[in-house]
Amino acid sequence: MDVLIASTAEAFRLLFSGNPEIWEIVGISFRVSSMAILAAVPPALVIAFALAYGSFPGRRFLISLFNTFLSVPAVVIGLTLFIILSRQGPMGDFKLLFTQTAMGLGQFFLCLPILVCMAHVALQAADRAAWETARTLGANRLRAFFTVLYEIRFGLMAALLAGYGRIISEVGASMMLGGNIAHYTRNIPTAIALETSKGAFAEGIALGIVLLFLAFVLNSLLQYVQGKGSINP
Amino acid sequence: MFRKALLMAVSLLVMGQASADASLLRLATTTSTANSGLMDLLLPKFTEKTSIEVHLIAVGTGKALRLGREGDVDIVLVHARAAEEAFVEAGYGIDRADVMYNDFIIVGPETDPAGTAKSNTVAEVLQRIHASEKPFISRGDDSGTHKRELILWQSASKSPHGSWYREVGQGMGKTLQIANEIDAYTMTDRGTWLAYESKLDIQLLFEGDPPLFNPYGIIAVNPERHPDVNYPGAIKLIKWMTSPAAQKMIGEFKIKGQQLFVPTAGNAS
Amino acid sequence: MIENFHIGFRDISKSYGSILVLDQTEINITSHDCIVITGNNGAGKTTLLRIIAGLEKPGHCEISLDDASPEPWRRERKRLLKTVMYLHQQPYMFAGSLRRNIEYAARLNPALADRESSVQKAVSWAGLEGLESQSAASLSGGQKQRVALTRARLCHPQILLLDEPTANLDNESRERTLQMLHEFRDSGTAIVIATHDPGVFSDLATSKLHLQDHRIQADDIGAADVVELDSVRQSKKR
Repeated sequence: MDVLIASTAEAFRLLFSGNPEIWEIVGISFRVSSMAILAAVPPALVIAFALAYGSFPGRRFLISLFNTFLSVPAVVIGLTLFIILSRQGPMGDFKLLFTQTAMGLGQFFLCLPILVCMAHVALQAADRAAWETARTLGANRLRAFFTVLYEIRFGLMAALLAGYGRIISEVGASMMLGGNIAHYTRNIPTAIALETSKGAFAEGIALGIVLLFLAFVLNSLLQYVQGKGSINP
Repeated sequence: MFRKALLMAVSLLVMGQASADASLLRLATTTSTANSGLMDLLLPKFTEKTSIEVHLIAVGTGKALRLGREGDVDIVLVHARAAEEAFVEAGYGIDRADVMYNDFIIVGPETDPAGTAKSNTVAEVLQRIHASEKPFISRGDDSGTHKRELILWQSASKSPHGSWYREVGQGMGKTLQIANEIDAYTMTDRGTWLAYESKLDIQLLFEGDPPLFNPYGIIAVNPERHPDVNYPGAIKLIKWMTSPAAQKMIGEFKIKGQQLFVPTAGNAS
Repeated sequence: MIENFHIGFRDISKSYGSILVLDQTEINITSHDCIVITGNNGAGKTTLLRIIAGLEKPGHCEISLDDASPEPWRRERKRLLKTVMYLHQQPYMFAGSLRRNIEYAARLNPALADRESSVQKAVSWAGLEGLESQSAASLSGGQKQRVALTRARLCHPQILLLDEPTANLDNESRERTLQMLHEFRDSGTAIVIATHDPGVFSDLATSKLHLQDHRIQADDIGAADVVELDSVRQSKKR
């Protein structure tokens, strides 16, 4: 108990004394995860749209596939990408292993299924008449696509927050693909793993507090967004 | 608009990528080495002197050697003498040099129910634990430390089996915590022990026998196998790590007032 | 004004899996027409309208515009989406204000010279003044219907398709809707209405069709054949 209290007190001191190393780690986490989710949103929306509105062979299979990907452990994605990106792997020539890009790629593939599935559900819940009304008013496909996205924006925000929540706190794939390199690919979760293994509990707790705070903010936003969605059917 | 957004996202993502040039060196080392903090002291000095930035990747010994074998890193710093020699033998690495050693210690409950403190050699310590069947925690993760522990059991002519011998498959820190919780013996590297000591009730019981010494070797990845590794950078790092200046820093590096590593460059092959 | 046109949909077939809905039937639509289609529930009225609108893929359908040779539906789809306007039975309101809903349509018509004043004019045409900033979702059924018609108005469709437009409307709203439809027809737009209640549109209708046994058949008012219907149409044109 003493250890917990002392470490927590030290953690707050570290955070609020503006310890540059801790804030650098926080910055890397946010940067990589934001890039990953930004890159994942456009393809996820297109896939979700095709799954919701398209009619092509294998559609149902793809839906189950993406739902299965939801529960694939991060380390499996990490390991798969590790093998692909390794110098001896098929994409070895790009020298991406142990870079922020590799870490971002891992997070990209982690949040993609969440975005696809949640956007798909939101699209299914949306009135098909939204798409049809836009089309019959003369909107081209792209325009109608953005119109429908706006109609389900609350559902999409929820998907975005859930996806972000998964990747910002993910440790397995980031550790494997980024290599936990100081000042470069050391993000909040890998740093927590490292500090804990070093016995530096205060640093671990300090970063944990940042994650906890972030989770709280994301969840509050999610609650707000979902509440908003229900008021405005 | 959509296409633009995608392009932007992709280019932003790629921008974060490090350029694989001569000013970047990738060093794979073991977790315990990285955790000791020694490299945080040494590497900035090296970067200052050569303007080569070093990306330190901390993994298990086996993984570090594997990364070297596959050409995913330029140089490795590990402590597994037999595996290192095999690595060089197979042509994966060249220019191996000794850098330093640290040591393993035996820790356990203060009451020392197996009476290990009376031992003269580490073999005797293990034999006493074996005979008393008091709980012993093994890393059980095929790490360098785990491999060393198995070798020590072998040289003590005992095979550790039974409910008293528990393989946990965890890192050193976790293993120490587990040993502490159930009043068990374990073998640890001194660095991790010093970091955890103040939070634990178990005590240092045995140290100093040469079989517990843990020599570190630094090996460049063979550029003949992987032409695109930063071999010149690797050579510079090897030279610098074995230079008198770096060796002096290694000898003076202390955790909680205790010396952790003994510099050995020039003493061996 | 809409320029005079004549468009024929021929050999329309559609089935959902093994259920046959439309079987090699046809419909001709000319500017200033107002065609009322009746038929039992499930007869395929909505499906027919959605095929004409370009929203639903038929099993087979060929389209001939004026005197051009027939083209398959697939190749005409884009034009249908541009020139035909389909109103859902329950008009869909986009998120946001009434004004946003109407501006949305105005933005899609590049021919509108002054968008701002066109929107203003359309709003007062529909008698929706004062409601511009209200959330479209909170409007009454009749008001939503008028918003949908206003959106349609801004698109100047050649053909306006309505699916049960007066179901669930009170008398006053029904009258307003009829009034607005009259104005559409007068401007040259052809109107096709699927309804269970053809009596409501007796003043407006130029022809009545009945959908039965997967085919469109001429209905009562003299049970006229196609030639006679055409002559009725000619006389109504001015």
